[in-house]
Amino acid sequence: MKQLHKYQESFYKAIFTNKPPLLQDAIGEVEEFNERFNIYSNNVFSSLKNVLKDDFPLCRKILGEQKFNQVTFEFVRNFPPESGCLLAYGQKFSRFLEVFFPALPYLKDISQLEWAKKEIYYREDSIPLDPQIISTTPEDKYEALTFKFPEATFFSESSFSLQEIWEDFEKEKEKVKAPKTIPSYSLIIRPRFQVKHDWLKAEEFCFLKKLYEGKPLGEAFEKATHINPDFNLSETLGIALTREYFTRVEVSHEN
Amino acid sequence: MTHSFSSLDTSAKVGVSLKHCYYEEVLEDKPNINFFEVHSENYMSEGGSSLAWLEAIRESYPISLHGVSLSLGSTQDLNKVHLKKLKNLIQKIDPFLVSDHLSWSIINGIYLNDLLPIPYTKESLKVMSDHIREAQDFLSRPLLIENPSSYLYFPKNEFSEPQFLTELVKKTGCKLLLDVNNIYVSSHNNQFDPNAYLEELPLNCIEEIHLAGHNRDHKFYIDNHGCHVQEEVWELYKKTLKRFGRISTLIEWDDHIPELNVLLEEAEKARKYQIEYGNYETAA
Repeated sequence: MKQLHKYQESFYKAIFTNKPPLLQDAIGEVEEFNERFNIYSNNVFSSLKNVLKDDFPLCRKILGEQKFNQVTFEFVRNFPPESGCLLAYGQKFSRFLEVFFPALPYLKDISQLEWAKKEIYYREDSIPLDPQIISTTPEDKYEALTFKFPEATFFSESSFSLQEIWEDFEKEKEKVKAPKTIPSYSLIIRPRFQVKHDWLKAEEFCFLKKLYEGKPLGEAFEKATHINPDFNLSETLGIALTREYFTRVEVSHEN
Repeated sequence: MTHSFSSLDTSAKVGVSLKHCYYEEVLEDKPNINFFEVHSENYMSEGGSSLAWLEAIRESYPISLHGVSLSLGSTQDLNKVHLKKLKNLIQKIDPFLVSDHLSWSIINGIYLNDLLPIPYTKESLKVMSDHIREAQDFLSRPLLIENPSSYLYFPKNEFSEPQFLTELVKKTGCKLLLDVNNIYVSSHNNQFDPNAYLEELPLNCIEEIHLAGHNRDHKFYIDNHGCHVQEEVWELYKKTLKRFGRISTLIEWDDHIPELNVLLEEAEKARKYQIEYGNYETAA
């Protein structure tokens, strides 16, 4: 096994260090070797860069073709995939962007949103809760209600106003503006098969996040009112049920 | 899941690559095609609409699962997690074929997203054979092994590619997926006779044929699955049918994906040639 392993090691190193002569020594003299080798090397890089190009379109738009090309090349070189199932490739891209572009701190949050949209697409399916079930619960039990969310749920909290740039991009505007330093909150969720991305107010985010963490409705409501005393519980709950955020409801027996 | 092929059914069978953009059309129009093929890795998920579409389409068509990342030619152990995912998918879809490549792509836990070439030596034969046997045992079914497009050759090869494939069939009981476009592309790049290649392969071991287009913009031809099957490849396909008889044939298209009709027209062309040239009784 030594020769084959040596060859594969050399091939791998050659791809990532761009030094094909090492490999040439391993397999002997081959005519036009570098040109031939580069076909493989280019395939590896371009296919993986294309995965990132497809999964992070807004980051690409913000950075422009040249910078995105550069950062994806470096990412592939530093973080090649560890599995042949590329559905999971790109998970570390957000952190990489944060280090690579410190002057664009919002890029990390945007890339996390883009990653979440991809990731939850492939998570376990779920069946939304039938809202009628809530109406059969006695009113004195409401405070103790706890809710289950779909497996495919992602809460995003950012120090930047991401909604405008996100919506501009979805409307295919030619230019997107850098977001302001105003906090924004959103929920990406996939009940059934459709990925939904909803922008939330701070108090709505707090309320839903607490429910997601398994806190009873009464406690989640209380936390939300700390942020905004006028928090509208019935409206938020109504939206959550209409948008199919929940898969199950139970009465908590704590306390 | 009632749709499958009988081993006694020797009628012409053609299929096309199934892409996201075709799902609705396939379920609504039910095109006249014998099977669809997907890349296994794209459906190794816990859920999601792609998997649901595939399961729905499976109700009406046989499916072939074509993999690109078992990395059977790697010196490192097979990825058990990946194998398990493949097995789960097989249990969900009940494919009529499961295939992967004569290549390697994983080393030291790193996955290089390409079908990298292996030297055709006794050492490689042992590695490949052991891995094919292990995968087949785990999956409880034979694998089809596909000849890849090649852009370099190894002067110290101890086997030709068809000899190497023949040895794999003998040692493991695997079957072959013969990519006629890949033979043509490799023969151009590595200067060998594609007809002699066909002659070197034994009869009765090929269970699927792939046809696709390649790019000729450079000195070396590049297998890009992004255009119509070239005329020279159709000619080689006719010779393949004459030698091996009618074999399920797939039109592969992975880049610059056109309307489904374009693939269906190519598939009809393949069906016509199967009827014309692929008579079992006259096969050599």
